[in-house]
Amino acid sequence: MVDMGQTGITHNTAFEQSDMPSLVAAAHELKSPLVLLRQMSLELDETDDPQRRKVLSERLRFTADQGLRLVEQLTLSSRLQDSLFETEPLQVQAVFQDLESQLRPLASHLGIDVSIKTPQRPLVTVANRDLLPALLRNFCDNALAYTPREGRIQLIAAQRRGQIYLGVRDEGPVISPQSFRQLRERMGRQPQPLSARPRSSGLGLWIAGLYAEAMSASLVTERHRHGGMTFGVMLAPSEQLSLL
Amino acid sequence: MRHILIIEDDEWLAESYGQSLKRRGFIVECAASADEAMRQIEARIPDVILADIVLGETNILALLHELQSYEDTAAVPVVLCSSLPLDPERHRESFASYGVHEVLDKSQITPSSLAEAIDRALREAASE
Repeated sequence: MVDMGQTGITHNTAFEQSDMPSLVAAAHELKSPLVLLRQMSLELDETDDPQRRKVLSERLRFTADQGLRLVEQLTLSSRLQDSLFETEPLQVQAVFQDLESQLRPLASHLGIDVSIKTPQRPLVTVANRDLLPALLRNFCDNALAYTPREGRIQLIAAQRRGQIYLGVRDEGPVISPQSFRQLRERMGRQPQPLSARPRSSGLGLWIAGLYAEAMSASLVTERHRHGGMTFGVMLAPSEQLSLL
Repeated sequence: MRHILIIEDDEWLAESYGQSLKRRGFIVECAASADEAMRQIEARIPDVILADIVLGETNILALLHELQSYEDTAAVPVVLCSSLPLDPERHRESFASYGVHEVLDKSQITPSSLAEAIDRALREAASE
């Protein structure tokens, strides 16, 4: 692990392939959306209020999508050791725009704003076109879960120390310095629940760590003094970048 | 009308439980954390509490322990629900000293079974 001085950013460079996914964490994360689907479908059966039925119908879809994404991410994770995930130059702006359009319906339902913050100069990174969006979506799902109504999620891209930094900033609860230190030490190596963010078993971050490792990238995280956290990834820049 | 406080950090789940209970004549309030629950209890003591067991930095037992220590909240009956693999009967006994009357498995709850469990807890508390 490399601590980058005063930035508060930490790189996890030593992913241990021997760390196995926690089946308990996966089961817990999958059980939550299933319980919610069940409860909302039972409520849908007994309500005649058209407005409430519309809300429930939307939430059923969003919750099913959340469960399906988790299953897809776990499936993708299980293929990482058997398959080669080739990397290629990817336009950061395009990746962010796709992500933003995916997030928009759920964010709008939750009353959360999503914005993109990128430098004027286009950034091109080297990443896998399946893993990078899945990794970022993972961060976004976490951000949506903890950002309060009327809050904002920012998709941030920047060049930092010759690498491409892509982050998702939320306005959720800030974890304690002690939990943050523990998170930095173990980030992405095993599922690690965060007590300030109780609905998470840490499985998503663990999966993100696997994806990052498969792309020779590293996870980073930051706390924000006035609230919220950013989870991000440091990726290699494309050679094309130097031509711009 | 019976006043119920739902303590659950999943907003959509709390809202859904709340809607089902409102249809059955309860007045419902929701709190997403133990701190928020305590603020609401200080403003108005509910007739019954429905709570998730796992609640962030403090689990529900810390809050229930505090409620048990006050004379005006010690008798408020509590129904717990959880996604954790629990043995409801065994855990009901071990949580009884915290005012817990029932422990429900979230994956088995229906709107009517939820209301029935709360009614039972209210009846038992009234007869104690």
